[in-house]
Amino acid sequence: MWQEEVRGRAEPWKPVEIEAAKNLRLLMLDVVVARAEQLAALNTDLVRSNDELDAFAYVAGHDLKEPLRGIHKYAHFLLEETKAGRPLDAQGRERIDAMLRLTVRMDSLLDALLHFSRVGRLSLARQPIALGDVVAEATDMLGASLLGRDIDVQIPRPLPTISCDRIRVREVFANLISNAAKYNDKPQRHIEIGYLDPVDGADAVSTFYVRDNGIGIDTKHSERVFMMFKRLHTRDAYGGGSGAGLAIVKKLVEQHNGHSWFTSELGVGTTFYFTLIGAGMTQPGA
Amino acid sequence: MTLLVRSDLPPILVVDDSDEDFDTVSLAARRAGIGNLLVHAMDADDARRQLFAVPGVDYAFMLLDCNLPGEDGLTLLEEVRRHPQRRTLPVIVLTASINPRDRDAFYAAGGNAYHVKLVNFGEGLANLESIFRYWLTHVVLPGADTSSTGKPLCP
Repeated sequence: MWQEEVRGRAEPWKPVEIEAAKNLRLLMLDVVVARAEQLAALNTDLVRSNDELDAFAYVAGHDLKEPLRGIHKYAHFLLEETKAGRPLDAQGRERIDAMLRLTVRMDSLLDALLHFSRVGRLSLARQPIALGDVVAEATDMLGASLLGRDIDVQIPRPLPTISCDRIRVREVFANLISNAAKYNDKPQRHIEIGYLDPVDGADAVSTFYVRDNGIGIDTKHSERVFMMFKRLHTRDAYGGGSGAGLAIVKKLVEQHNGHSWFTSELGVGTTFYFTLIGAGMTQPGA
Repeated sequence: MTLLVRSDLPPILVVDDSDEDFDTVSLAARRAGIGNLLVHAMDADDARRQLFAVPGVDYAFMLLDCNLPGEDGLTLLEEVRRHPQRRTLPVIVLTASINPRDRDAFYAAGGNAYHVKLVNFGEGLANLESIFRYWLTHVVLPGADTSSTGKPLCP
């Protein structure tokens, strides 16, 4: 820090000194303002994450209660029948079947919920990953559930190697490919996986996509599809599901500082995009 | 108990994606002894078809689940309140959500009553029976014909 001591009367400040003092004042103001902005941003983040937690707890609560209501109801009926001394008939057996089905559903909702909350907490293990291998693994993982459907997966040009978390990016692809195959009513299901050319050099944003010729999504649902446990179709339509897949995709992509969205035409198909930021792309063979 | 559905009574629109819950609603209607037809819509689009594409049908009220696949019940309620022919339709919510924000948003959008679906089947059934009795026997519904008896034409 600059310091000066004078006795008697000080020399008047030279213009250059006044200029320097003014600059110092401006610099200090900048620091104060920047700190205040950081603090405000942190507060906003905190409020948002509290709100998210709050909304999430309610969503989890009412979606988990749905199967529980069904189980309680069927057990109630069975008990009434037993009290009346009636033997178990076909309807009674159907009710037991329904209870078993609902406990399995509840189990899968709980698994999805635990997975979703874990995904938000773990830190990324970034390293250079050949995405072609990751997509091949994702397709293998889905193998069993995709079998018996006429699906062809096209990768028009080799995928690059980027810095990312292998397991998570594989999960993003697995979820998107699985959706592309499931929400599809065409006799021949086409899935295309690719990436857009980055706009500029090293810290370019890498944009990847998974395109299908499926049923399409009304764009009025553009935010809703990424919400936890949100399905656009009734419970068992299109092979059913918990409604967690895209919520997990969104979270995994956000962890890579990226974002996810889609473009779609009803009856024609959907393309899901996601970005992985700061991912330093290397072209294959380059 | 066998109950004849009477075509002279206004039907009730039940919007719920869960077949189990619709089944409970039907049982409660039978036990409450009401003869109104229950029209089941599985989601907001389905309900829209019933409400806006078939304008001739007058519903006694709409029993609405807020947590639907696709668009939620709140969006549907807002559309009903904007619609010239449907804006006075009583909308009664039956939802699993205990979130105060959902509740307040529902009332702010002009909903008539907010009920929470209970896990306890017996209590939930009793709750629904009282909803049917209250809205069909005690309430004078909009557009109800009260000319002869002074009472609405519902059982």
